Amino acid sequence: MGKLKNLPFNLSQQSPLGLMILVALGAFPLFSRNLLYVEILKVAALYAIFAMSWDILTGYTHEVNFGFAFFVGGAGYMSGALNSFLSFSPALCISLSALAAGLSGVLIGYLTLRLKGPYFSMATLAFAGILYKLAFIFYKFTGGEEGLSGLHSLTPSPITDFYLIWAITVVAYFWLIFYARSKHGIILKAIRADEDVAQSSGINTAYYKVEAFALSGFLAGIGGAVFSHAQMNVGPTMLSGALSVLVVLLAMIGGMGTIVGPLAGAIFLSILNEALRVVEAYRIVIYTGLLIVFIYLAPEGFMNLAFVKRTPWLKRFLLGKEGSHEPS
Amino acid sequence: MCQNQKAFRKTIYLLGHKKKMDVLIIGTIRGSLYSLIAIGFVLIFSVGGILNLAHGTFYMLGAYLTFIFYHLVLHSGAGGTLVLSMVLAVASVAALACLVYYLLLRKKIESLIYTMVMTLALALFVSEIMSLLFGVSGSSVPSLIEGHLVISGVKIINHQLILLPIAALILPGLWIFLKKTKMGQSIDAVSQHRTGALLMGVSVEKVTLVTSGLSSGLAALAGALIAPVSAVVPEMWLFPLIKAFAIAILGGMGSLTGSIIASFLLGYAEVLTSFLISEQLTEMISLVVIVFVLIFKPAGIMGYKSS
Amino acid sequence: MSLLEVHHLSKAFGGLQALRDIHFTVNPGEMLGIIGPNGAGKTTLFNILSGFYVPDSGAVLLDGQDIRGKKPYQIVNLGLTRTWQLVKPSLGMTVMEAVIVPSFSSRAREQSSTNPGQRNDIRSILARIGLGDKLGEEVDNLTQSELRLLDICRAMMTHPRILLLDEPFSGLSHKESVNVSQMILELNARELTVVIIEHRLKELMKLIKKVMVIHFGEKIAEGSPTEVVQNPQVIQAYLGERRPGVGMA
Repeated sequence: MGKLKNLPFNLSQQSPLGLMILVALGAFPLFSRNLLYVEILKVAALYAIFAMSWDILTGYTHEVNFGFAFFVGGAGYMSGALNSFLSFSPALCISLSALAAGLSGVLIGYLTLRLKGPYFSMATLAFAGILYKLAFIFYKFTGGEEGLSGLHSLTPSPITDFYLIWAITVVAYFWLIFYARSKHGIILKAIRADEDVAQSSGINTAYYKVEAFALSGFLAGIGGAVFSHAQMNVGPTMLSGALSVLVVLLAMIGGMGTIVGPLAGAIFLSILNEALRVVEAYRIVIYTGLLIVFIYLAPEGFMNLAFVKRTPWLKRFLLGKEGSHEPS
Repeated sequence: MCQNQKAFRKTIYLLGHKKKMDVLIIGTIRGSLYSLIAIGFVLIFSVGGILNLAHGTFYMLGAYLTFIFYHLVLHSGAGGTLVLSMVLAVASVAALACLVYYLLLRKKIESLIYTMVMTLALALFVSEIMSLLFGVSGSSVPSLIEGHLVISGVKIINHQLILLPIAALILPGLWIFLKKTKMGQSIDAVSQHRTGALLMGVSVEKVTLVTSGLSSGLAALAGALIAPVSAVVPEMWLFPLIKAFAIAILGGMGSLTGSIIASFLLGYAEVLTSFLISEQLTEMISLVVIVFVLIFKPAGIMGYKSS
Repeated sequence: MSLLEVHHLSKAFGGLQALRDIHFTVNPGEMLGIIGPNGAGKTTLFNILSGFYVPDSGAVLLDGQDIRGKKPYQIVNLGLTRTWQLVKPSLGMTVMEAVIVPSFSSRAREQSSTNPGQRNDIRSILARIGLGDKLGEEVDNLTQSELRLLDICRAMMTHPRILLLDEPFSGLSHKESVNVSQMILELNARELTVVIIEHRLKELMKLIKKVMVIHFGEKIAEGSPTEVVQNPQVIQAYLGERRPGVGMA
């Protein structure tokens, strides 16, 4: 039917909030030399990558992926192992691991095609659980409880590390926004609404579901592999259920199915988490408690609140303007 | 098929007499424990449509609260300390579950995503609280019956044996409750067909509330019973949940009898694996069961409709 | 050469025989009506033809090609599209998004590149069917009848050669029905083959020249509207004479 007029870099249609966050992140090290804060933002940006790539699948199909740690930790460990045992450069390790993650996305996507609702979610949980257990069983390759350490860092300095991660976040953001607003995203939404109807419109729904899964896995893999080199170690926490759940919560509280929501959610909530260090003993409890309150108040996320939808200027500010989708 | 049968027989033969008894007894004990946990999970799913990812948490709280109440009750000088603590623990968990349903889940129960994420977040939250209060090492309570028995050369801890008569009482008791009492029948009705039950004047909310209490109470009972002989740690909510789900889909998400059978199947499978292969793989079994059943069983039992 | 041929089609669900030995033919450019009491198996037939059910036995030939076992989207891409009796709203999407989905199918893309003169402009189709001003509207906000019109629009965007309409007039006002009838006639004039299931016989009989009657899963009559309406078996079926021992109402 012709190309869509909605080109990705039509700046006026992007979400102002999203752009502001990305610019603010990038500008921060120019104004502050505090390495601790830079480190915090670095982790926040990585979680943003996780949350956004989780969103492109779950936000747009409404099938909840509870096993995201599979991609993050899987890529993290693979990258770490390639680096530790084979001395590949971080760049090579990350590329290979991300590719592997993307391919596992294809595999898991294919295997879970016919699953819906709770069954899909539990299957993804089980896959991640299996990988987690395997990491302990094959402790010779994974370092067991302690994981792998002494990994090569990404770049010689923490500031350049940060900018590398920031750049990846920016690319991931625009890639996902473009994807979501393209026919791929619209088809995913159609599948989300009713897969039978999508089929009866001539769409090979299986293909698009697997494709989204692969993209989700690939970007998560990049994030996970980069994470392990940024920390210079990788441990079982990267494969844990806690990580999977945290990513889900960050993305959901921000707003499912918007890409901007997970970006904002991850950044702000990660900063909140660090801010709570003043009550370190209770931090995790308070943090998790707050997440629960947020989910209760905004079950589909703050960007998806009815209040936002009803207020045009707010909606425009948070979500930007969708293209006209007019075929040429 | 013939080859599998041969392999199975060879395995059993290799086990030897002593080990066979081990497997039988321990497997049965495990199966009873699992059935208490799984039944509640299946009930609340078929009645409320709630995939309660906090179900393992109720099990965990049954254990932790037994510990807490035990020490409270001990100091107050009341008798029947351990049994009393267990009863209190189960009652509190049931009450808590009802509150959770009433306050947090009831209004948004139609959204599966919300209930899954909320219950999972709660599970994480409670786990962190327990971590904070009790640290990561285990907490302990004394057993109901100290000591151990030796049956056919197999050493069984007495306390574990208690699971058998309790399960033997509770499961039929539950069946009677569901078939013969008014509330039980309402529960049955709602689990079979929600709208139908609604049209017949059943208060679905009330039934779901009762089922929340019942389901969590059963899980808490399992936790309370296991507290004296098991590691009570903040992570103990995850695998009972995974196993409950594995059992549920193995036995058929709506079928209580199926779940009971599947519970024992899993129990025996785990014990066999730990004896024949390795301890480490036992946890994997339930995970692998989930993956295999969901992926290779025909489309019929899963959400996919039409073709 | 017929466009659609159905031979000895049967389908049972558990103990219930939904379709028994159905056979009929549709030639290019024809309009066939399918009528019958509720539960007769008409929608089951459509489900099979469009690939959502697999028949127990029999053959379905589209342009001579057996399409049994093909996935629904593949059948659409071969030129057979259906609409839905029970309205299935595309929640969470705008009207424009909902209607543009079919244009992403391989068939639509082929058709628009090989027949540039035939490019269906979304705006004009929506306007034609009466939804012209709803382009940016959220599907969640549409009325029942608007949803039905939307579904018909969606189906047409797949550039079908044969269109199966499942109760297209259900829920529509008189004016809307007349409009849709007009549209169907126009499309048929441009060589779209149409098969319609309908209960509202008045609207249907004005459109079609050939009618098939299904009762309890079996074809009991076929012919022109006047013939069929006078057929004693058909009259009996509609007056509700129940066969003893069979559960379908």
